[in-house]
Amino acid sequence: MIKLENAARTYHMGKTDVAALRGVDLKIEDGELVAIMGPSGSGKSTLMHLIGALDQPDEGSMVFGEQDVSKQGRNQLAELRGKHIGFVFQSFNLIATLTALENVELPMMYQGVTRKDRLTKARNLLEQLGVGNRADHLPTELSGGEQQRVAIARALVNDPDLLLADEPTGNLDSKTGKQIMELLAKLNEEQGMTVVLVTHDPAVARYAQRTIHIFDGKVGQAADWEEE
Amino acid sequence: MLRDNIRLALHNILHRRVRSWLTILGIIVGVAAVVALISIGDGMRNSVQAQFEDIGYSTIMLVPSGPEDQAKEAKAGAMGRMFGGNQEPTEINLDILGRLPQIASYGAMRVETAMITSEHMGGQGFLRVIGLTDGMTDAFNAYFSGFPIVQGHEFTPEDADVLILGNQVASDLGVNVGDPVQIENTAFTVIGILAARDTKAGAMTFRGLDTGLFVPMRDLEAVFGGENKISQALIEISDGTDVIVASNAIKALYTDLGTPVSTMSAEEMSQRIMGVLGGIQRALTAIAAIALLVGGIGVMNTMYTSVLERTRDIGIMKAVGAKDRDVMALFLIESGLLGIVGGGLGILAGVGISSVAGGMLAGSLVVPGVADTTTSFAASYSPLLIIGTLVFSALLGALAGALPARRAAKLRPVEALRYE
Repeated sequence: MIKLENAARTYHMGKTDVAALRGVDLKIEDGELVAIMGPSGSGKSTLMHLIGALDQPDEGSMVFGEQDVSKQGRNQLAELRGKHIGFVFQSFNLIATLTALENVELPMMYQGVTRKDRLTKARNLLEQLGVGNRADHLPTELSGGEQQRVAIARALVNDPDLLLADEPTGNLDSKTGKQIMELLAKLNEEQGMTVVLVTHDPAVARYAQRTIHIFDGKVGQAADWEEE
Repeated sequence: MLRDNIRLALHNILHRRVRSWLTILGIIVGVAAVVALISIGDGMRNSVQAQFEDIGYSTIMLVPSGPEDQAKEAKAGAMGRMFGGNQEPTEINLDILGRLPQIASYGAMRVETAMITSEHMGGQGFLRVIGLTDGMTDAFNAYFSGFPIVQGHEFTPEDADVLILGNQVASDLGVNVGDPVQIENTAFTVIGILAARDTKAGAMTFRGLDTGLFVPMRDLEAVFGGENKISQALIEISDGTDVIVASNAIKALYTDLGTPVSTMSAEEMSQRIMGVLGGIQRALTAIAAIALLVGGIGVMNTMYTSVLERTRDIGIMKAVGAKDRDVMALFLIESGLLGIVGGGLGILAGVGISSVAGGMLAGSLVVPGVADTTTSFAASYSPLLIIGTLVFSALLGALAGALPARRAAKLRPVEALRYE
């Protein structure tokens, strides 16, 4: 369960302060597939960073499971991310110098998994996601869809509680995007994985059981910005 | 985790092959210079040490210094005379040495230039005659390069008016064992002829061996008159006595007697020369260390560039669970590896340079006035130097990488991920 209470985040850009989030309350239950939607500049990236424990709120609280993220140190956040959260990014964010297999291995390395176990698990996951034959290729040798599958394998490899996908189809053609979304939906459906999608694409949000709209740093109704 | 980090670090180094090699080259140059200079320096010191060891560290040489020139007596002058130079024989109380507890044995020699007449030579000439106290060539065998007799025999206490010839002078005079040779107006008989002095017998050995006419001290005294006149004495100190302490006691003793002496020991001399060599070595090494420092700056530069280039990767690593210390370790290991590889190759290069340079320097690296030019020289590589250099270059690499690694570790994941 993820719970934000009155969470605010302000960025200091030189002399001006930019309030990216101003008092957000939201709750995501285990096993939900939730979409967070909002136009660019709405604060949805900031919200995603908070949910992903990549950042902390200046005010208010953010609770992940039992842990209050807003009160934790850098190492604890790293541990939380490593063990409980899997990230899928718009631009895949695979490390270019590592092969698909090595990219999938990486999160397990930080959890102290032995190399043998890492290789087995990484290969299995790549296989399951339909890119088993691409394991020894570098990201640049893979198509966009393949890269995103590798990235999803990487996100799943430590058996996270939450899969956080930031515009997962943004760099993919519509057909591939659809396949990826079906994959994520299937993970939610079959494995009960909590999935949070951050997107501005209604076609993506359609997969969600619930959509949270964010506008001007606040949670609101879709109408708030669709009417703009 | 460490193994994984090393694997990742190697991967990153190999990925940027050209830049890595250039960075490593910077370390190689510095390490090679340091290793070459230290090993050549150590080799020089070993070579000097070996030259002094010929005579042994428990031997003190004593040369009378006349009261009038005592003030201006420079050690260098005394040094020259001790190894076969001419010293006007001076009367001193030798027996008193026997009473010093620090002294195990002693012997003296007196060098005179005498008119030599030999039938074979068919005329007369002036040559150096050296009077030796009884048993001196045995007691200080090393100083006389073993006093190797090839024909005839050594002095015995019963012999009177007998003569042992250096190899060179024997062949110049054309005399053999049993032949008569006249020194001034006294007839002597040749009882022995020495082997030619070993050309490798360098260091602190008597250099007049080939050209000297050696006679018992009492025979020389009978010819030239005057008792207890010596050119120099050799003193063997007793076990457990400090050479410097003994030297000072001897000098004080003779100053009190009104016949001041200069002393010189292998220890004093080698210390003095070692001191100079050590100073030169340290100065050169310090200069070489500057090259190493520049190499270290090269590593730092490379690592900063690398952190910048991989900002996004750092963000990814952090997003998937890397802690600050994981990122820090990765970059430290990377720069440490650059250091180790540079250090290892630098050591090889340094060893190569110093063995080539050592060969070229061998002829000129001898102690002037002490050793023969043939004394061998080889650069010396102590395990400490090799291991120390490896450890140092790894540390240098890691140290140079410390600031960049810290920067990488402190990157905030959100900002790192956003970096294009």
